[in-house]
Amino acid sequence: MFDREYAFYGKHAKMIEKLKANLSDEIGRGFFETTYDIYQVAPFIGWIYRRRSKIDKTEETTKIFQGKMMTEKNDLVFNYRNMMALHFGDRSTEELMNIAFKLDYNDEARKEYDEIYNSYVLGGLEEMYEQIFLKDGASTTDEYIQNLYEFLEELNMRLYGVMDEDE
Amino acid sequence: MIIRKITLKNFRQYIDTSIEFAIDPEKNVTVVMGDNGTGKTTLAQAFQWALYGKTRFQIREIINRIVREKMTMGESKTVSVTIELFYNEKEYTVKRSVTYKKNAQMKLEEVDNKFTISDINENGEFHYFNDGEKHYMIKQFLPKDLSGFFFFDGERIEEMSKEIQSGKSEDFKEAVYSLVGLRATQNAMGHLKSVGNKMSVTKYYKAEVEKNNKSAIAMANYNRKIEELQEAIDKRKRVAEETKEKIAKCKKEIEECQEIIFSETHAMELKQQYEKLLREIKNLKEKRSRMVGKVLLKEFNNGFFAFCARPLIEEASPKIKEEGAGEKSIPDLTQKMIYYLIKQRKVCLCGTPLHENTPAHAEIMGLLDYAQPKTIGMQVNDYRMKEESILKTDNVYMKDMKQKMQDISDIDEEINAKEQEANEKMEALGNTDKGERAKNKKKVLEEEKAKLHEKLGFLEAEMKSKEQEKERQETEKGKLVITNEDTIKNANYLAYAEKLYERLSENYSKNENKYRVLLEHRMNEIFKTIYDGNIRISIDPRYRINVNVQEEFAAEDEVEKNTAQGYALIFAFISAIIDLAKDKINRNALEEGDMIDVEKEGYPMVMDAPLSAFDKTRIKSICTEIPRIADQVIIFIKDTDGDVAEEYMSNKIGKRYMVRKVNDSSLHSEVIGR
Repeated sequence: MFDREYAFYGKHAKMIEKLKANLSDEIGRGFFETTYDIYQVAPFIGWIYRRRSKIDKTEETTKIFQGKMMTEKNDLVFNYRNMMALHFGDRSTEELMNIAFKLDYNDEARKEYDEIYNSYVLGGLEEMYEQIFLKDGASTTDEYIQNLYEFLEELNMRLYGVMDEDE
Repeated sequence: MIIRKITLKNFRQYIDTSIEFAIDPEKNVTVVMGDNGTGKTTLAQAFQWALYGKTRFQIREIINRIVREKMTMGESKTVSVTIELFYNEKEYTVKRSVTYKKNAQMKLEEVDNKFTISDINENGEFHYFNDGEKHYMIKQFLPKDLSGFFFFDGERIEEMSKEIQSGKSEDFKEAVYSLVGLRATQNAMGHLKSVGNKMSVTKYYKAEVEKNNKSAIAMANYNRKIEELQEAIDKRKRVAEETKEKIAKCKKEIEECQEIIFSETHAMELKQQYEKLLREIKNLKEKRSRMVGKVLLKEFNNGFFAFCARPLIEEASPKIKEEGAGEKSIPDLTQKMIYYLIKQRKVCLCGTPLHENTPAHAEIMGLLDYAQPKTIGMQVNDYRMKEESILKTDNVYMKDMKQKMQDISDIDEEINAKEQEANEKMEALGNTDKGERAKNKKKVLEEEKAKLHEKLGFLEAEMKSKEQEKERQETEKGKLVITNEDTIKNANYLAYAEKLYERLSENYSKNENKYRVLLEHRMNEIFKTIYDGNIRISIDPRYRINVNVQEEFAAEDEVEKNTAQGYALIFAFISAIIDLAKDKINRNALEEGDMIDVEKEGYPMVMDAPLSAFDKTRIKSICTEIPRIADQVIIFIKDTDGDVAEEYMSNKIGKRYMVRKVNDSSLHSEVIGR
């Protein structure tokens, strides 16, 4: 598992590109540095917003190369196990352990779970993109950054149950 | 092909023998008589050895045994058979030879073998054919796979007879197909168009065209998209250039206004204060950009994952338990091995079948917990370590982010304050009418410039995204290597191949049926004369030959039916295909005019002792019929049958020979004329 390249297709590839693109020459960077950075966090965002999505295989575009996947394999496997534990949280421990830990070398049996994982990746990506670029009709860099901050505050509340101190 | 002469040197019983055959069309039969064991079969088989290098001898050694025994150590001897033949009114010499040497252990070693075909050119010199030509010439004389029907002995006849009786027909079908050219047509058709997965010409070009077509469509789409994007980019570029010019103009006008305002101001100190403020604002804005990029966004990216994942890991973690799974791993047992047993081998090492939902299957699956590279215990341990490394870090992310936002907001306030101050200073500058007008104009121009900047930023963002999109399209397009030219070329090839197949197929079915009907007709005609008028032969589409005895005659002697009838069938069949071949040549000559190199070729029939199975009436019929059908008949026969044959064929016999043992030795025979 996680030993092959991973590709984002169609609209998802475009979202990735925009999340990585320089906001301006002066700022000199975008929200995320690499595709991997997005791929790593996306399934958790997908889970938080209970958002899953399907692959949009119109044209192949952005990839995380095999080398990077192999380097990050341990972290990705860790994420995978967590995602399975969250998604199948209502299953018995035995069932859960079977899914999350015992299929590492059984690509065929793991396929349906990989699909669940990937659907969270894409759902999470869509959520991040919308939160930053589409919310409140944002169109300038400052507005995008404001959206990002509001997104973080919302996550903080959802994940840590903390309201902004000022509110 | 008509055989003029055969010469045998050291070939089995024949140390130095040659036979000239009857070639006169009126007297085309050569009879070679001899008792059993004198070497008739050897003679008959010498033809096939010379032409195709094959023999049917039980003892594979072909060198004469007397010659072999006399050889001294290091001495060499050559075995050869030479056939002189006519083909297409030209004389050819086919010679096959093998040279043996006696080694130090007094054993024979094959040291050389040669196969030559030669003719005599216009200057009367020998001309030898090269390897490719030799292969071709042999096919022209008489193809190897057909030779069994033209050179045959009692044994071969027996085999063919059995094949016919048991309904096996491959040899017959092959014979007909290759003789009349159907096999070649069939091969060509198979090459052009195949069934199933086999690759063929049409299949190949169809796939190419399809691939090319899809590619061509995709290529057109990419081109169209790229073109559209380029247009959009160019349009924005033009507007951006215009905008930049407008900005530059604004800037210049603003500077002019500034100069007017300054020239209308006498307080030097005020001017300096204002310029200082502008510099400060510029620096603050640069600082702000750095704070957004290098601080805020960088930290966002670096800490975002842990920020999101931490509480989720805390939620997931308690569900992960290593229930019952100890730390003990089984030495050398790997997960890969378990999956191999379960999925591919499906049998345990002990031999127990591993079907799903059986205790054995469950037991093996259970071993996964203890298998390398990581036991379940080790995996859970890894998980815990990773978990700890994430959870142990202080969760200050949100606090940090908030601080960074606050810092940026503080700078914004500072910038606002400076801008406010600058505006106020501006108010105090150039308080003359001219100065006031310049100030108002400057204000308007600055608003305009800001709007233009915004517009330019927007245009540049759009251009960038369209450039990226264009680049993506070009990358995808680059993957399509097939050009339009290939599509046209391949489509043409496909059309040729299909048309050719169509023509061959039409021709094939027409001829296949025609030749089968013709063959059946001829076989019946001949069979009637040489065997029995009350038997009807039919050939089904798979070339199975059926013999239908009319009922009132059905109670014949079984033995006679099985042997003589079988022989008669073969004679009929061979006669019929010879007829057919001639017929085809004549027909081609008629249909194709000079297009084909037409030879009115003859075929020999070389037979070894075939008559014993027949009664005298039938021998008479066969003897009358065969010289009429074949252009040359060479018959090897034992004395008793020979007398009968000679009696019925006397007016057709051109040459007569007798084979006899020399000094009553079974190792040495000679052929003498009678």
